[in-house]
Amino acid sequence: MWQRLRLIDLRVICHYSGSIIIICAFTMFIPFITALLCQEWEPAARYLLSGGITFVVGALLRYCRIEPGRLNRRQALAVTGLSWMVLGFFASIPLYYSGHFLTYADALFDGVSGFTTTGASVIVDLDHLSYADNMFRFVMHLFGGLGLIAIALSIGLFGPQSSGTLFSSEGRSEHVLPNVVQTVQFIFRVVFLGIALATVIMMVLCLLAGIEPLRAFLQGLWLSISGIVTGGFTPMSQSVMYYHSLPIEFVLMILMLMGSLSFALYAEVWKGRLRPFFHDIDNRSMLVWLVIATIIFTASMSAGTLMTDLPDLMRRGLFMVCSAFSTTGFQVVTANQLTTVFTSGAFLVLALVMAIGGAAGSTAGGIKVSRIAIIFKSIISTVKETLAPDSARVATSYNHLGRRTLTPDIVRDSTTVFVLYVFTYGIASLVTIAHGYDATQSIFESVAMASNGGIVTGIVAPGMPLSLELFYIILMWAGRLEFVTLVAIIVQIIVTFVPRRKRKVEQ
Amino acid sequence: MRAYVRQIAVHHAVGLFVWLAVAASLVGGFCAGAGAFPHTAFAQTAQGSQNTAKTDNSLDEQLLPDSSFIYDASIADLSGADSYYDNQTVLVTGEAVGDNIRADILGDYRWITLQSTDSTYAEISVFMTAQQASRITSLGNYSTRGDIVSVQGTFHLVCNEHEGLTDLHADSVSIIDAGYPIEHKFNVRDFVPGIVLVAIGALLLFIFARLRERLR
Repeated sequence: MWQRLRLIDLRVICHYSGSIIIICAFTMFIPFITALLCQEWEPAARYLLSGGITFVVGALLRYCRIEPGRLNRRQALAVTGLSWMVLGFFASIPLYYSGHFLTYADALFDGVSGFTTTGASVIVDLDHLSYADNMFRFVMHLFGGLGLIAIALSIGLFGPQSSGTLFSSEGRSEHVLPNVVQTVQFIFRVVFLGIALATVIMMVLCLLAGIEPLRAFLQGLWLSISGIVTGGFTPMSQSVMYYHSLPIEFVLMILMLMGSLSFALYAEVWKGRLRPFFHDIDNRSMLVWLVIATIIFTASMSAGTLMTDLPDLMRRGLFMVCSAFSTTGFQVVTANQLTTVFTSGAFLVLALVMAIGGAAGSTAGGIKVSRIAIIFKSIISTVKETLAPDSARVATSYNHLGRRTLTPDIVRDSTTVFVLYVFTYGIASLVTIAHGYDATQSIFESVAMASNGGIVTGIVAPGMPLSLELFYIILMWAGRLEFVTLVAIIVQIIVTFVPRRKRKVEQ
Repeated sequence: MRAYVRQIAVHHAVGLFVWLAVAASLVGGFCAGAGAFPHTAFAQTAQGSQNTAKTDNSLDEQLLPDSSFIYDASIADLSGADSYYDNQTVLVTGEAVGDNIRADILGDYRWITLQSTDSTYAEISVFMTAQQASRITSLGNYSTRGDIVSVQGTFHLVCNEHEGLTDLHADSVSIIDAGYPIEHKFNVRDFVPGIVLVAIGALLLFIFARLRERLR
C-alpha cells in the first residue's frame, strides 16, 4: 500500500525546506563579502539582492508549520530530495544576472551542477567572470559536497530527533562517531583541514608560476575546494591545463583521491587504526580497479597515432583517469583532444571509470566500487554454494570498518543501485543520441552527467538543446541522490496526486 | 614578312617582361632587406629583432592586411582542430586573458592564454619567450579588457615538447589593440533593495522565534 502525503506532511516539508533555503541565502553572503573586498560593486548588489530574496522565501516557508515536530522517513526523503533542486533554482538567480549565461536554463544547469558537484559548466567567457561570481560557484561546490542536510544538522537547524533519518536520506549512512552531529562535524574538520593545507600549497605554486598574490590565493582556495569535494569547476576556462604546472596537477590528484575515499576511514586513521584503512573493501577494490583501468587506458592510447609517448600518457592520461575515477571533472586535455586524439577505447575506459566512481561514503559519484565488489563477491559466493555439498554452509565476508558478513540485504541494496545507474546511463545515452549526437560521445556525456563526473566533450555547451539540458539537470540531481531517494519522491508525488480508484461496494 | 615582324615583336615583348620581372624582384629584395614591406617587417619580428617599432606596446596596423601569406585561422578553428592543423603555421588574433604564467624555472618562456574575440570565446595556450610576453601589458579579467594580440606560430594538436598539450608556439607576437581597465561605479541605490529584503527576512525570523516560544 503506497502512502499518500497529507497536508500536514506538506507543511512539515515546507518548514524544513525553508531552513535549507535559509542556508542557501547564507551561501550568497560569502560572494557578497568577496565582492565588497574586491570592490566589485555590481556583483555585490546582485548577491545582496539574491541573498535577500532567498532569505525571505526561506523565512516565509518556515511559517508553514510553527512547531513541526519530528520528521518521519517519508518527509525526510522529500526534504532532502527536493532541496537539491530548489537550491539550484535560487542559485541560478545571481548566476543568470551575471550576464555570463545565454539562457536562464544555462544558469540553472550551472546551479544544479555546482550543488551536485558535477562540475560541468555552460558558462560563457569564464575568464572575465568576477571574483564574487567565481566564489559563489565554489561555495556551491563546498556546500553541495559536504551535503546540505549535513550542514543543516551540524548547525542544529533540524533538531536532534530527525538527524538520523535525514543523514541517511542524503546518501550517507555511516556514523563514524557515536552520533550523527559529531559524525558530520568530524567530516567537516577533515575537509576544512584538507582545504586549508591545500590552499597554502596551491597558493605558493601559483605564486611561483607568476600569478599575482590575490589571484594566487583565490585560485589556490577554489581549486582546493573543487578538488577535495570532487567538484570539477575551475576558475579558468581551460580547466587545470591553464596552469601548465605539474606540481599543481600532482596536488590536485592527491586531493581528488582523498575526496574519493570513504570519510569513515579517515576517522579510523584519526584514531590511529591503520589496519581497517588498508583492509577496507573500498580501498582494495579501488586500487585494483585503478590499476586495471590505467593499464587498459594506456594500452588503448598506445595503439593510437597521436599521443603515444610515455611522458604524455603519464601526465595527461593518469590525471584524466584520476579525474574520471573520482568523478571530479578536471581536465588536462581539451574537449577536442578527447574526441580526436584519444582512441575510442581510451575514451570508453574513461567513461567506464567515471560510471563506477569512487568509494561509498565519499564525495565521489557513480555506482561506487564497493557496490561492484559486493556484487562480485556475491557471484563468487553463489558459485561456491553451487559447488559445495548440500550440508555445507557458505559464508562470505568483507572488511569495512571491521569484518562484516555479506547478507542478502546488502547484496540486494547494491544490486538495486547498480541496476538503477546502468538503466539510467542507457536511457540517457539514447536520449542524447536522439538529439542527433555521435553515439560514443552521447554515452560519455550521459555517464558524466548521471555519475556527477563532469568531464565533457562538447555536447554540454552554451546553447545546447533545451530539452537535453533539462534532462541532464534531472540526471545530475538523480545521480547525487543515488536515484533511490528521487524515485521515492516521484512515487510519493504520483501517489499523492493521482486519485484513488473507488472500490466497488457490493451491496 | 608581316609574320616575321610579329614574331620579332612578340619575342621582344617577352624579353622585356622577363627583364622587368627580374628588376622588380631585385628592387623588392632590396626593399625587403630594408624592412619596407609589412610582411618582411613581420618576419623580422618573428626573429625577435629588437630594432623594430614593435618592441613597445604600440599598435601595428600594417600587419593584418598583408599577413595572408600564412595560413589564417581563428582560435575557434584551432580549438576544434583535427590532425590536419597539426604543425601548421597559423596566424591567430585574440584577447590575452588570465595570467602571464612561467613556463620554466628561469622564466625565459611564458604561457599566455588567447581568447577568441567572437561569440565562441574559444581559447588557445600560446607558448612564447618572456621578451614577447613582456609586450602584453594588459591581461583580461573582470576589471580589465586584455590586449588584443596577434600571434604567428606553429600549432600543435599534441605537442611533444609539452607532454601532449594542444598549444601554439609563437614565432612573433604583435599588439593589435591595447587593453584598458573597465570601470565599475559604486552606486548606493543598487544596494537598497537587497538591504530591505534582508531586513524583512530577519524580521520574519524574529517573529517566527517569538511565535514558537509562545506556543511552547
